[in-house]
Amino acid sequence: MKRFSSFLLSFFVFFGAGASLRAQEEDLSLPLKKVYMVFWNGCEEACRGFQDYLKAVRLPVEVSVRDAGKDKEKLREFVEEIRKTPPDLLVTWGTLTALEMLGPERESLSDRYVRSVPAVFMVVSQPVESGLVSGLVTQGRNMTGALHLVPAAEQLQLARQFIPFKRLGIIYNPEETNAAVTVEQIKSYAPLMSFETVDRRIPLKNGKPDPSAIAELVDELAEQKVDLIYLGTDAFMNANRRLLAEAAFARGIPVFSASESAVRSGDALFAFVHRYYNVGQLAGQKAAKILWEGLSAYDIPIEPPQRPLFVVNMETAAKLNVYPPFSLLSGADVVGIPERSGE
Amino acid sequence: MRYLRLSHAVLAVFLWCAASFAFTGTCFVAYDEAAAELHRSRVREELSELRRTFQTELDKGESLARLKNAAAVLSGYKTADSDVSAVSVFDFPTGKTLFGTRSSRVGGSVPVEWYEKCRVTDDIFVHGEKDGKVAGTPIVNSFGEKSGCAVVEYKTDSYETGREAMMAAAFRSASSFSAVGVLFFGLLALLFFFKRQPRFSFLNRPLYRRSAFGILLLFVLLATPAAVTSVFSSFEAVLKGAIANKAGVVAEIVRARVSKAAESGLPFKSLQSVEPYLDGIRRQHPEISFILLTDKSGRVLYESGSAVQAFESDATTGKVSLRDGFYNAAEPVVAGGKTEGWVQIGVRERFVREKIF
Repeated sequence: MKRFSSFLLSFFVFFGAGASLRAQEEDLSLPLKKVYMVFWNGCEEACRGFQDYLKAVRLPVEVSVRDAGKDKEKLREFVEEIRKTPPDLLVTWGTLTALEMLGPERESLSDRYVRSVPAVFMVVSQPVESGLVSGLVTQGRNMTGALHLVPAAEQLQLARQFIPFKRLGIIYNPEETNAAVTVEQIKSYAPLMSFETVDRRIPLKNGKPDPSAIAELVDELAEQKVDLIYLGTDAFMNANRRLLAEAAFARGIPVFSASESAVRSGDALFAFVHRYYNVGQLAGQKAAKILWEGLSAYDIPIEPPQRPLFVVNMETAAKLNVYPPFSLLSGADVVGIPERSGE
Repeated sequence: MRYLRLSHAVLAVFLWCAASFAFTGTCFVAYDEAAAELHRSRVREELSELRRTFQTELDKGESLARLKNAAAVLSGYKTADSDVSAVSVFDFPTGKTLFGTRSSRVGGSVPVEWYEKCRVTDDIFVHGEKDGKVAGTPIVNSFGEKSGCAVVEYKTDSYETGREAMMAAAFRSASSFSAVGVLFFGLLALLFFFKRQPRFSFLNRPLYRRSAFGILLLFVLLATPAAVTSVFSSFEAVLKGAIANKAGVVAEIVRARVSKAAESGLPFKSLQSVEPYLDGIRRQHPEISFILLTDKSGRVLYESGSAVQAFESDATTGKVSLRDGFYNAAEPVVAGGKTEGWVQIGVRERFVREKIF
């Protein structure tokens, strides 16, 4: 019996080891590549998505994660580290990290930045406007990227499936370039999509944007009979979004946000977003193309994932008595579901 | 009439029999095609819904391998369709089953044919197996890459049994038709035979001759529609099972979606644009004549297609019942553990007959 069980054991060990060996052989058939990842504030969902992607497709990779801990100086140290021991690929998270590591396009020949290593950036809201690259489809730098924002035109188109607005209100901080660019983009789409925009700038008080003006500006938008207010990505408006939401909801105007956090906190009714995990996975796919398929980074388009996710806050919907259509809800992430009252 | 010969009668009988077999054969083909389509579209609907469910989870930023309630979702599909023997999802990069209703499969590699067929298709693939069929569809992540594949294994016994029963019914009906023809032309031949006999010379009188011919013709005219109806009825009896199965699956899919909307806080009594969704389902499944969403008491809240013709009320009791020739599947819409209303799906059992004419 003992001999039989030892035979069985050796049989399973032999075949089990064979199987795992085969799996390893598949992985080792490709060259091991070194990826250097730089994060502004820790490895989060996009970072997890990137690593999961490479793990899932079983490509041999050694990932070194560096966290700047919101310290710009550390980014300089990372550039030095890369210069000394260059990896096969650099991956950056966020606009600031990308600009500090790779530099704007006009300074692309400067030694201050990483030049010799192909790069994939992710979670950069406006790579062209921020000066990182000259275009999304064709550009000359040895880098590509995975974007996290749903393009404004797509957001507007999808938003109309929920609220067929004729007048869209926007309040923004003109001091923030991103916000001004987005407003101009939306204005350019308005005649094509048959709606009007009513935009208001936050006035400055002592050289700083004045949050107390938000309620007044919402009043002006209400007088102009806007059907919907768009909350863009500008930092000031997002920091003061509660003021915007309170004023808008008091006048029965829904707020539509470019980011998910405003919907989760109940300050916006809905948003169309890409989850960071998926953005990280898309960056992983682009990395795989560069590292193992031999594509040049500049030949790979800079793009967001294809399918946006509809996020809606049902508590806010109930408050405004504006409910999403059934067609949108079936593929949505619903947050703030009100507790069901007993009958 | 005067020149009728036996050979004419034989030829007429032959033509009649050929027409009978051609007619029942045409009907068989139409009903068989309908049965196959009911089967195919049912599986297609299940797979599309599975794909949509998993893709939504991927859009939410979940990894396919780490989905939490996937096994429960799959077992729901198995329960809803009695022909489904197993439902599973395999990982595309590794080809290993991630979750499934057959626990022995989980963790193991899928057959190469499944993997290859899933790799090359963007829609749905079907693969024949020893004891049934396998249909699958790729699950695509938010940037258009295949993450996995949903696979439904189903038995084809019920379809095959139905097909055999329809073939038997077709043969029976064609034989009965032929018998009617043989009888008609046989009696006609006898009539002409006897009228030459001196004992039956009265048959030479036009009145008798015409009356006899008229009676025979009337018999044929009455027997033919009865026989045609009987052909359709026998086919429809066989098709009933497939209709019930399909209506049940579609009702379950609608129920799940409406229940999810109600669970999400959408008031059941004011679902925005649910009717275009129901219309879309009816367009995809032309045999469905109506889809209703009713409240608990049966009051119609949303309607696609007309249900008026499907129901009749008893004049004395006022009780409403389903008319003959309609099938109705009903599933409860449940939110927060409470029944909010019902999904009612009505199918005209005679839809193939209507298509033929």
